[in-house]
Amino acid sequence: MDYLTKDGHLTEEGIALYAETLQSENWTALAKEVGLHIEDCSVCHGEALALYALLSEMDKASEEKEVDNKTGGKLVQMKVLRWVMVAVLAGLSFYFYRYLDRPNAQDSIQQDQPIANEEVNKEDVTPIVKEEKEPTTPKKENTEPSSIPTTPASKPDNRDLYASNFVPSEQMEALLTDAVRGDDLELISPQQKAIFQVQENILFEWAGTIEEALFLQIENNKGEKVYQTALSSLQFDFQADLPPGLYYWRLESEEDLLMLGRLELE
Amino acid sequence: MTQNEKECDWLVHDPSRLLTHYQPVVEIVFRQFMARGFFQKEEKEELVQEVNLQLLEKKLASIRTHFKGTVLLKTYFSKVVYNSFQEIARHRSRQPDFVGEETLLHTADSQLSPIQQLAIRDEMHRLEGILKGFQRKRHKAEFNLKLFVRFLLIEADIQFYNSPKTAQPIELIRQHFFQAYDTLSDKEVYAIAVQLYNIIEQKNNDGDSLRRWIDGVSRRIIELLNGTPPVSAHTVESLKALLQLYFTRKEET
Repeated sequence: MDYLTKDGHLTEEGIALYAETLQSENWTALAKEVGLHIEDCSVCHGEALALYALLSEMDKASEEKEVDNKTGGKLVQMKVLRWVMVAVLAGLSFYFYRYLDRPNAQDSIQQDQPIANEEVNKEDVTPIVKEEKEPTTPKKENTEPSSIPTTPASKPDNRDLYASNFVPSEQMEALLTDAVRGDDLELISPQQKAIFQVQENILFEWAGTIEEALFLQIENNKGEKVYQTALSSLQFDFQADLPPGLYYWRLESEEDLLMLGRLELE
Repeated sequence: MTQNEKECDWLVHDPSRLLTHYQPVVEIVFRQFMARGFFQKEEKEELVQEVNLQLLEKKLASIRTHFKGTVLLKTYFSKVVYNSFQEIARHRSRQPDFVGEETLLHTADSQLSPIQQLAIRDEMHRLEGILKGFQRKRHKAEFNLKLFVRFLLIEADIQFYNSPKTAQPIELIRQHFFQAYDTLSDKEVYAIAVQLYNIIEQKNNDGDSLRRWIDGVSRRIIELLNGTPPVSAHTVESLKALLQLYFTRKEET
């Protein structure tokens, strides 16, 4: 086998042979003429070293690939395990979220139920104006949570929506006790917490004297203003063209809240 | 049928399949040239394509003619691909970025780019090839090169020489070279080391003789690393840095 070219350098195979010998270090397998030439020729020696470096790099790449293949299965297992853990954590989070939120959810049901029952019963009875009817729902300690959806949104239940119109406003209920009367005015009608029918005329009337401009404002149980008017006298006939529900009215001057009351429309 | 035999069969009957099978080789060779600064990353697709075309058009046929089977086909193919990229670099008058003192001395591993790391790895592989080429004198060369760069010795370094005959010089080596010895001159270092080799080789040399030998070894290493045509610009100092790196990594593995 001739490992030398016409110009006296090693052939490709001669250089490849030296590079492979560097890898195996089996010097007895190296053709003598290749070994001798390498000792004397820096060019061929350099080329053989470059090839040896290349082979070493390829070996390194192969080893890494082998390691990747070996660990590949484990990685897949770990990926699956990771997703399982994510799913379990998500499930647990959802469970605790629901569990922790349950008292509020129950609160809403308790608040709405009596009114809802009343609404069901209402279909069978003739509507009448009821006097001083106390709310049958327990007083809410905090109204905010009820406005936060605790479960995925479901189709709204008309019954629930209707019932929610009758949930007393905690804030307004607190004010009722303090501001039912102005200093110089006395409420004649409507009586506090009176119940009216939708479209029924409601007469607002006060006794007393006051020289300031007066304003009547009506808002629903959610604090949304539904009606406002300036009063030219201490008497005002209001046609309740509003949906059924609990309402609060305010008699105000330009500067002060003079009187506050509650009424219910059925 | 071995993998090599299978590949030889593809060379004759299904060269396209062989070329597809060897694509990682083509890419690794390109990366080596890129690490050496001959090519840019953006040129990869174009140049790999060009080399593949050369292989399909004529070089695989040439391999079929000239390959005698004394080495693995993959090794031979790698050399052919290496030549192809080298020809392209020459044709385009590309010059390498020399791996020199700057890269080796002043850059910590973590600061090196993957390409720089590859270039240094390439340099280390070539250094390893040179050291392996010393064959039976490899251990002597490595031992004295460690002294040359004042690398701290460990028991594994002297284990090979340890015998009742060498107990005395070995003890001297333990005393002097198992702790920092940067302050010792070459003359002092090799005056200690030569006592060991005088016993092993049954000679009566002085330290200067060993120092001259290792100087010759280091010059040869620099010459081979720098290459013809040059691919590196090593000096004695950068060689020392490379040797430090080489011995450190070798100890780690």
